[in-house]
Amino acid sequence: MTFERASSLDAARSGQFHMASPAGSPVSQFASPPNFPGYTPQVPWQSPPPVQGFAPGPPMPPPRANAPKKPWWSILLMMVSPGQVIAQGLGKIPWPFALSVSGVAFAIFFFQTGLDRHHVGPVGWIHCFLLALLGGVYGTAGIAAIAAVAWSISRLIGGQQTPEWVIRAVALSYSSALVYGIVGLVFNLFFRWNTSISFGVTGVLWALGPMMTVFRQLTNGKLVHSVALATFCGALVLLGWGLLAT
Amino acid sequence: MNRNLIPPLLCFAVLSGLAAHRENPTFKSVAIATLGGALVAWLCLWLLGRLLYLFNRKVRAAHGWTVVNETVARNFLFLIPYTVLALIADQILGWNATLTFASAGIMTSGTAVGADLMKLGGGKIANMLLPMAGGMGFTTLWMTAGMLLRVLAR
Repeated sequence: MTFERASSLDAARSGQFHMASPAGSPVSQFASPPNFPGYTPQVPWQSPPPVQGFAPGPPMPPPRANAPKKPWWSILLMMVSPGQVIAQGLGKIPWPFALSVSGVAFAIFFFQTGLDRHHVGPVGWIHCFLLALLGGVYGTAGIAAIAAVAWSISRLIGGQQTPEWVIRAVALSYSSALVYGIVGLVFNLFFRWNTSISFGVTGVLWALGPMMTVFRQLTNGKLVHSVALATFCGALVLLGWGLLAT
Repeated sequence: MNRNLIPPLLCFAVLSGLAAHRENPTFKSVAIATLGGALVAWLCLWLLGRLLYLFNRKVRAAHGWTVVNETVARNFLFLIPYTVLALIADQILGWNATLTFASAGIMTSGTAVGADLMKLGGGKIANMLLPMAGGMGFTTLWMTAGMLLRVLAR
């Protein structure tokens, strides 16, 4: 067994080896379908699986420093260090996943608003679930719309990001609202606390922190513009919730 | 005085005044809370800056107090959205939750100060933990002082 190409250490590390097999060895024999008189394949031909570390493959993508391997890590990291997640190009998070974060966060938030009213008045469970549904719509379509507004404003002041990036980043900013919402829901259901403001609003307020980091990136580091944008978007979110859920 | 400190101090004044107005809507109470809230916030910002200056040896050596003070003042501009939202919540939605907005704003601004000091060469652990601890101390001190001022103004 010999290696055709191992000219540099980098090539060796990236696994770009070609295995040169002598004629008649098992590898060269099955690299293509057998073709000899009288042979009829019983099952459709399948190439043997590439051998890890030896088979030629596509060049490896450039490594991303400390990029989270799973989207869930990006959610947690967005709470603690949003700048790091943005620097890593928002990880590998597709926009539907990012929107599902804000969607679930607002569904739980709206659900808690209904539960708070259920504790003190004649509000039924169906009403609570309908509110949760409304929250889900608000957290996906509403947040996407607010992100689109932020993107439009950012274009006016020289922002270069794509709308898809802005929607992903803004939606993912609500990861803290999601965590606060889950904790609040536990206290609401098991201890009958009124948690929509103490946990729900707090979570949404905490989301302003990552959002301002996102807007700082969006406005090319202009602090005053990012603060103005965060104020505008935060007010829209709060007024939307106040209008729909209270 | 650092000019960048004026907007955060105005925010603290508004937040303190709003909290007082909810409790006792008289001119005397609101005026004392507004002025006292801004003064205590000034002291807290100075203390937070000194704490971060003390524990950031590299930043201290390379940039000095002025840059640390500037970083604190600049990042506390992040308090503006929280103040506007607190005004909306109080005046339009009718909530009594001003201090929730203030504490979230202080913690977010403190974290942003830490992130900026890291960019200036400060240590990661110190600038993640200290702004959080400092922010908690800031919130406690500012809220306690505000409560005392409101009691005194009765």
